[in-house]
Amino acid sequence: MDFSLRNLKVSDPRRLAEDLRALFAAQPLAVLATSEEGHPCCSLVAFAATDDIRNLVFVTTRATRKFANLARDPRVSLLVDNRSNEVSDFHAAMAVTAAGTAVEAPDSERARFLKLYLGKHPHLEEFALSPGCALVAVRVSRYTVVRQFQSVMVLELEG
Amino acid sequence: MNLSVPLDSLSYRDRRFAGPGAWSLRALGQRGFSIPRTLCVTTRAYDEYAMTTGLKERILMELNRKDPHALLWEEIWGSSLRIRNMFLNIPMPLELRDGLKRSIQEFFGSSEVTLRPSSPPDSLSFPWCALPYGQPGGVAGVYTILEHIRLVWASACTGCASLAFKDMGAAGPTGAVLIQEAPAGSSFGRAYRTSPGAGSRLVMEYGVGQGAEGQWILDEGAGTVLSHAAPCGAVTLSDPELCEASGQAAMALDILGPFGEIEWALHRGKLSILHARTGSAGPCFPGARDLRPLGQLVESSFIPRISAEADALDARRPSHLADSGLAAELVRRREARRKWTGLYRDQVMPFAFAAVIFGALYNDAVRPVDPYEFVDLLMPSELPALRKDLLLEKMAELVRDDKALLGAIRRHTLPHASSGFMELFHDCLGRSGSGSAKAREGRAILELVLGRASMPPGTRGSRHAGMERLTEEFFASLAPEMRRPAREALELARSACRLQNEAAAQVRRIERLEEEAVREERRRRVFRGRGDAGPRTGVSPGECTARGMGGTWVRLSARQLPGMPCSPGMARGQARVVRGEGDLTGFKAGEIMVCGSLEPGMAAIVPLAHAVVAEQGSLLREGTAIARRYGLPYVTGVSDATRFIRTGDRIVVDGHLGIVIIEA
Repeated sequence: MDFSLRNLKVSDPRRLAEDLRALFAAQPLAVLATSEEGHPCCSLVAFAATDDIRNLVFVTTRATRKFANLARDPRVSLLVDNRSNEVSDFHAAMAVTAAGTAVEAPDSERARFLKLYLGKHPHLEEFALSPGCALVAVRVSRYTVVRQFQSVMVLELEG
Repeated sequence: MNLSVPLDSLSYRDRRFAGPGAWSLRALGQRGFSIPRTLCVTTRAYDEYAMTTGLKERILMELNRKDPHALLWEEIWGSSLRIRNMFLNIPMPLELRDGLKRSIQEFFGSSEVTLRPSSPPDSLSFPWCALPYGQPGGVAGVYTILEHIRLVWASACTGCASLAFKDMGAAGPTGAVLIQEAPAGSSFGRAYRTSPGAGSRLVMEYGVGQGAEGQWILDEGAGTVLSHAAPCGAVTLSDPELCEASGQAAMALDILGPFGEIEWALHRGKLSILHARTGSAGPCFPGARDLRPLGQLVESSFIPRISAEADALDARRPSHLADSGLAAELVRRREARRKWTGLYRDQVMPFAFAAVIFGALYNDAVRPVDPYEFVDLLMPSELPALRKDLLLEKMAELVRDDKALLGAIRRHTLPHASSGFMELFHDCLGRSGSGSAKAREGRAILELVLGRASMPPGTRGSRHAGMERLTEEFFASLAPEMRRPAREALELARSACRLQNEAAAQVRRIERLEEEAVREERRRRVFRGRGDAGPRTGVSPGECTARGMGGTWVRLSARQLPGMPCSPGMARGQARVVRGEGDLTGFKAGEIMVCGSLEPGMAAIVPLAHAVVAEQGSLLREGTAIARRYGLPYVTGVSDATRFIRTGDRIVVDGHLGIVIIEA
């Protein structure tokens, strides 16, 4: 999918939200940033997004640093992008930073989030169902979307 | 595939690397037509240049700055000039240069050559979109030839980019270039057929240099001349020359197919074919090779007629009309707007392209860092906005030196009518308008004067070297034989700039008259309870709200908006959104003006601004000239700037990169 400005109407939040959903469906991995005693700590996670793009979910073992970090400070960021590591990324790639709050998925939502996650990453079933792992949901409050190198838009979610 | 191939060694396998021009020319050569010695620089050379230097991605980044459907021709021209400057300023990689250098030296020695794209974009039907490769004569010397190869690449690239912007379906440039021994000849021209098939006509355009000076139209079936047009005193073809040239041209066009086209040279009665294409664009747009007639049309017909129509429409006040009269007036004004915006697009914009052609010439000669430097040469001081700017500055000078005068203006008491200040004031106010409108204009002028007077003299000074010095430097950089055509191109460009500004002001006037009638009609409907007060977007300035998927509310705001750099520099300050001239009142010195487009009526306020941001570009407008004259950062083509930026927002304008950052 081409996410360059050529195919996007910059000022239409609905179109942008649809593009984000398409990006999240296409990209298996995100970079999770947590705070480790005030220092940023980045980890690669396999993630999935809910249809309304309000929640990004991922699975991690409880013994990881990232889990300890987000238990101490649940404010996190996730970076998702579609770069190809080619020079064409400078005009064609899209990078999205999601800012939100991470919580271990509540029981009421766990089944829904797990189904969503395993639908996207079926090969991670054993990992996701392991007792030592936690299903984490990031409630997103803001997306910062960078395209075509210079265009930066902020999509805030309410409610 | 080699970097270059002699035309007569071209094999079928090489075809796509050599471009259609080379292939058609080779076909004619094989049928016995006289073709100058030709070396084809293949697409491999272009690809190597574009990829190795990163140029390809830079071009793509330039093309993706803005939604192409929202681009104005002026913005496309701006992009074309920037892309062209990339080609001018990025040298060939050494390995590529040495490879081409060897072939060119072996093939041509020190002979004079001409260059042309092997696959020119279909720019003849849209001649005002491609920046031409405009070398009128031959070039010699291997380094000069190498430089001209880059210029041909730039021309093909900007032409294709322009057409692609407007969805005109141009294929990408192949980048192949034909280098030919400069043809001996006393006459040059091109030939094509109109209405191929039965009843076709052969058109022979000819001239002694670049550009058509005359045209023959021949009925091939009857073997007769249908018409001959040539300006008085122009060199023409003798009957035997015409017979030889048209006969050979017809045979060549038979080989090329129904839409073929050739360029030819005639020397001692013998025809050489310089270029051939199988897809002719047919007759040129009027004035494609010489825009002067179009300029005369704009000056002697477009401007007087639109001005007269605007006066006639202005004479009827919508508020004084009965409902039926208002409905008719609305239709009349809507039709007038449609007609004049169409004519503006078809007549004024093609003529305005003369300014961009000059820009390319200037940039070739001077190689400025700022690709829009040439704009500083184009704006004569008698343009209304520039003249007003001058008067305001003179008044501000008087106020700075005279505290009593400053106090009087602050107290809204004007000095004696015969004072120098009041002469300037009345001159600035002009004679048009009356009553309350004039009083408002007068107050606005005094506010502007106070604003300017509050700034120390010299704070806003001419940044650029001045029109005279730039002009001198430009001509000094040219070879003597190029100075006359350059002077003509400059005069034409200045005329294009002046007339485009005048025409744009009149078109805007017609648009306002339509808006006035629409407002009146809406007012009456609301008054009678039959309509709403106008379109409601439900969008507050600075953000854009909509219900997203799954019932989630989403709000979109901008952090950084890309545009196009029109005047370099950096500025940080408070934004003031100006949606019309009515918003200018209260504009404070040092604020950053954010507007839809920089209209002539706003130009006088520009010197007060710290920087300017506009949604639509206007490279050749008076406001641009003023912003550049005062050294203000100016970013144009910023989509939805007036929607995402609110008055009072702190913003950063980067006129070097062409971006606007909205600070959190």
